[in-house]
Amino acid sequence: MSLPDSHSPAPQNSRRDFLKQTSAAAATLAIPYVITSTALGNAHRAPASDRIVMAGIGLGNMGSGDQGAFLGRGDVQYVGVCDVRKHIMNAAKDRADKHYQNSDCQTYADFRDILARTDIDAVHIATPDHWHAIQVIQACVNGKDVYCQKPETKTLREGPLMVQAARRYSRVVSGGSQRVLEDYRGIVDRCWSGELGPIKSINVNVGPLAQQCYLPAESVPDDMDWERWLGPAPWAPYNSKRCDGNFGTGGNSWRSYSDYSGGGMTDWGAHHFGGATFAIDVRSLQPEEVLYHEGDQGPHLTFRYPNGILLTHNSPGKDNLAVEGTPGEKREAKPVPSYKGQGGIYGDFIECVKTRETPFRDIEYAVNSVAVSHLGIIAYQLKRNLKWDAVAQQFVNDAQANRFLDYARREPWLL
Amino acid sequence: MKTLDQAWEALKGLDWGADVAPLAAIDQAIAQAHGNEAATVELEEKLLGMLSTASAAGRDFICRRLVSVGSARSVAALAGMLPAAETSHLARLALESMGSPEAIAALRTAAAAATGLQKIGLLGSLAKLKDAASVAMLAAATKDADAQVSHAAVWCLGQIGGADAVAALTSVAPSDDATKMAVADAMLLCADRFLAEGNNAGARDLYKKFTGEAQPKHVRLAANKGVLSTVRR
Repeated sequence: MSLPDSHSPAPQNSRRDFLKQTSAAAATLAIPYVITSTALGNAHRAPASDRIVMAGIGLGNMGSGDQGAFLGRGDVQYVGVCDVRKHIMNAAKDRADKHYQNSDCQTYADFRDILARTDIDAVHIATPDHWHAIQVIQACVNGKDVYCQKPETKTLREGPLMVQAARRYSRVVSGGSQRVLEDYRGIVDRCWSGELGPIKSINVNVGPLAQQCYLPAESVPDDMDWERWLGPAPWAPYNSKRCDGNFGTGGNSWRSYSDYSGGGMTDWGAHHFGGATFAIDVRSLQPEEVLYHEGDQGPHLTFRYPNGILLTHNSPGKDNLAVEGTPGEKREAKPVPSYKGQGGIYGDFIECVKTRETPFRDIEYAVNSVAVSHLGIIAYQLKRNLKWDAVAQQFVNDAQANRFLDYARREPWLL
Repeated sequence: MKTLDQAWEALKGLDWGADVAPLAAIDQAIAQAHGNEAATVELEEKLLGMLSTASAAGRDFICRRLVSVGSARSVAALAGMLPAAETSHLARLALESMGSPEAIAALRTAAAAATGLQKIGLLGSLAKLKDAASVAMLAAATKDADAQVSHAAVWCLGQIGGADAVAALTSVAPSDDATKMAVADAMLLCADRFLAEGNNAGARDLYKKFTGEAQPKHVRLAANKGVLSTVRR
């Protein structure tokens, strides 16, 4: 949820509505109205009234890449950036201003100020994982469409809340793994074509799990709002390794630590489990059972889906995305779903913002695949088998496991 | 056993920056204690015994383990941590995850006495635990002079739902757009819950409050979809 700030009353109409109304009024009154070439558009640039007005929340490593992708689109007008680190935020503003050759991009220390702008149609979110659910849900409550980086959730409880918010407000909410379709297409095609017969199992190799962080205190950099970086996570002293946005999971980044991430299990897991669940066509399901195995080569897991298909994790001797089919048996071919529009996963999102279709990486599919990671993390932590009721979103007859569905957010953040 | 003893010793001196590797034995012991009531109680009491003298990092470590093994035995010690800014959230980590009647009662008592950020956190935990007995306190909190508290109370009422929550939300007079949006969201949540419970008339009445032109488009859309849902059923 967001808490109130001293926002000035916002206009009720969107920027596109305003442009359309202004143009109509000018035509009716026959008042000379100067329409610039920028507003009219050209072969590479949609007219201003047809552009999707966007802003970014979290502009570090992944966020700057996402910003670049959206800036490069002629059907997007990029108008605002928010980051808790001023130098990151200012660099992001500079990129937008340089691209448009103006100084219009606005900067915000607080994401709620972006969400309060009624002229913004959509936001992309690339904050650390512990922020995603609050920001996605609040974006939906404020009528924004959302492109959210993976892994979309930090806990099991967050997923359904994000899906419900998207559905309640009819928002387009896309997850952010481009690899689900682009990296594993060969395996997906073999599964969906029926070539392998009915699928029995698929294996995913990914890790490690995140660890708790007790790094020593360092001085907070002058240009960083540490309280806001921590946000809903438990308080901890600043340490550069605690909050670095690099892609490692070995202790030098926030991706290593369990207050902000599930480690490699969710970070690359969002890609690999996403690709695996797409290949075996269980994107709309969650496992009903997790089996924990101890072995000479370390612990590993088997997830069982309600349709009987198995998804194994780090199964000894198996390659990543190794599929076991049923040779000699037929399976009806199905067309493989793909992106809409042009420009990969970003184009898919923008096209769906325009048409109100469901994006390829719809938040529900994204939530279901990251749920595999979360179920696995809890099984490894408790070192035992778990039964999962996906409808109730509860572990069956396991009160202790149910204590790990979520965590209490640090005040004032609520979820 | 020696390793576990070493872990308890390490916990006594735990501070930010300390080597946490020896503490893994405590997690191992917690996992192994599953299903063994006596072993679980022993671990809980050992943790509780160290809580009052632990450093900030030590309290952090202990409260996270009480998420696993905490019971009614832990509530009094954790309740004592709820009023203070430095410890309130750590105590809520454990109490919220327990969700037992004793834990809820402790959260409720602390919330009634708290102000500012701590009150927001406590109300949020009670809302997440769907504590209907907190609705009257939340209704009062919607009129709190601290705008952050009153805004949080609106959100909490939406999470709990029910006729009393709706009545409390109806009496909120939003003075800014953020609060208007929060009230609309909370009411729509209440309507969704009415619908799920089969109270179609109640749901329809609530949805209809948000179908007017004064509402933002996405709120009108949500409300109109809700009205249609009540018809279909």
